[in-house]
Amino acid sequence: MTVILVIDDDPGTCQLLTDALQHQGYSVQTAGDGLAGLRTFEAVHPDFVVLDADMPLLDGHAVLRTVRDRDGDPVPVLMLTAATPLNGAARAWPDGVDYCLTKPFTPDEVTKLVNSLVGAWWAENEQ
Amino acid sequence: MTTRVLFVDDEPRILDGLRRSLRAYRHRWEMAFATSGAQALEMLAATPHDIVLSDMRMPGMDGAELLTRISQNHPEVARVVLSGHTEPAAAIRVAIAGHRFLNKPADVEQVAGVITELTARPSRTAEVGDEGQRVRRAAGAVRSLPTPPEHLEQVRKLLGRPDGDLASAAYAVAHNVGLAAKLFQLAASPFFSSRTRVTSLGNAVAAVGSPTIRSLADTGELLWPGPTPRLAETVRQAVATADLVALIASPGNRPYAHAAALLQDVGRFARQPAGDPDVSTRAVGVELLRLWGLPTPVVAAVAQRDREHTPDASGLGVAAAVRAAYLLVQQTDARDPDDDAHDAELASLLAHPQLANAPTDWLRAADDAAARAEGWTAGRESRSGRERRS
Repeated sequence: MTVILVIDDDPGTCQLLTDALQHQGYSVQTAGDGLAGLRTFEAVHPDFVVLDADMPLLDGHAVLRTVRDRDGDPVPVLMLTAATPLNGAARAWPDGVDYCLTKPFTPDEVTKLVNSLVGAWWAENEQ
Repeated sequence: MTTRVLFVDDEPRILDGLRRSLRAYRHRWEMAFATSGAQALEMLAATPHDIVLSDMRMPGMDGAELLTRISQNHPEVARVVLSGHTEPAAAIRVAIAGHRFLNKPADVEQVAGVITELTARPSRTAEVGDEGQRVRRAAGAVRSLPTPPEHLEQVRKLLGRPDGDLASAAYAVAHNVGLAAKLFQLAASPFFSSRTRVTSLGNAVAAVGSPTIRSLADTGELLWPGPTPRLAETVRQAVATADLVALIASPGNRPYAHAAALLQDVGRFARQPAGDPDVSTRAVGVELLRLWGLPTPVVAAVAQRDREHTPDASGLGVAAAVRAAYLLVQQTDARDPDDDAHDAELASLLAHPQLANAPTDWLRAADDAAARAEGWTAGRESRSGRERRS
């Protein structure tokens, strides 16, 4: 089963994305901060990561750089960024992010991007 | 139109098991059962079917021979192998003849999943009606893509050397459209592949393993029939685009983009069935990749290669990265003379924030990629190619 890892310190966003992604047939794991996110990443080997840019302890940019330093096929990463220059997409592209969505976003925007890359054939067809 | 599925196995109890376990699907497909290859061919001649799922080991006509005959006489029928057999020589014969490969005893969900995938008509990529049937026939008649003998020799040499490792084999396969296509196809099937999700060519090479790759390189089935300058040009352009898209696509999209660039024109390798009006080679290529079970982003990027792209702010994605690399290669000596320039579109793709701040001179990178591809397809490994591998 395709596993999506959602790393976000906002429980509301985690829940919203979990519901939307589970509805599409994905198995979803969540983590509430960057460090927990990296631990879960190593434990579950997700097929796709949805990552908040702005988190305490270890922010999304640091998580992304750590994930990109690993060997093997790179896992697709979608970063959720605030519309501020400090945490915006401009910082994430050079670190190897695949997609960026600026807040506020809708769960549909997230599921569409996830489907386009790791979706089952039927998810792709429904677009 | 009802989907018709034909199951072939010489053991009636296996067929009974399939009939029982797939009962829940009987309202979705009409199922028929044959206990020999000869009976299956009679049934196909009498009634059109959409899919055949055949056992490999049968007395008289075995599965490989049956599927080869079906590819010749009924190319519109999708060919699935159900096999528990692992004898390498026979495995290679079905690897050439089949579209999909399942382990036996097969998991019901897997069988149903493959049938559903092979009968689905994705709205964005597939043709419908008569045109769709012609596309399916042209794609279904293809068992493998032709490959120049010197490229197969190169792969054999790399795998045969005592220090020959899978990474150098993957490098050689990355310049070999025919073999790469076959490896992606096999890697998508649990029978040949040790991994559940294969995205990159390196991963596909590792999943299929060197003994199978060597046997594939040894089979005459992949051989280039003779000098075909148009196909050589297609291969050169595909190799240059794949090389370049590795710089353009973001890390998570890169394996898909590389595969799509390499396989972008597989439709040109297919022979159009005699007597049929010509169908679009792009549609045939897309159908072929779908039949072979390549990942959706790869199939979608190949389907959209000729479509004008407006980059999405959220990221270039696979298809736009492939399109950008293709348009850049069109600016070099490796260009496809049949296509026009798309300067404004290319400029807008390269201005995407994902690429705009990268310290790369894209036109120069495209020239380098074209020169490397030229060197490789002319049979000599370029200096930079050697450096990349070491």
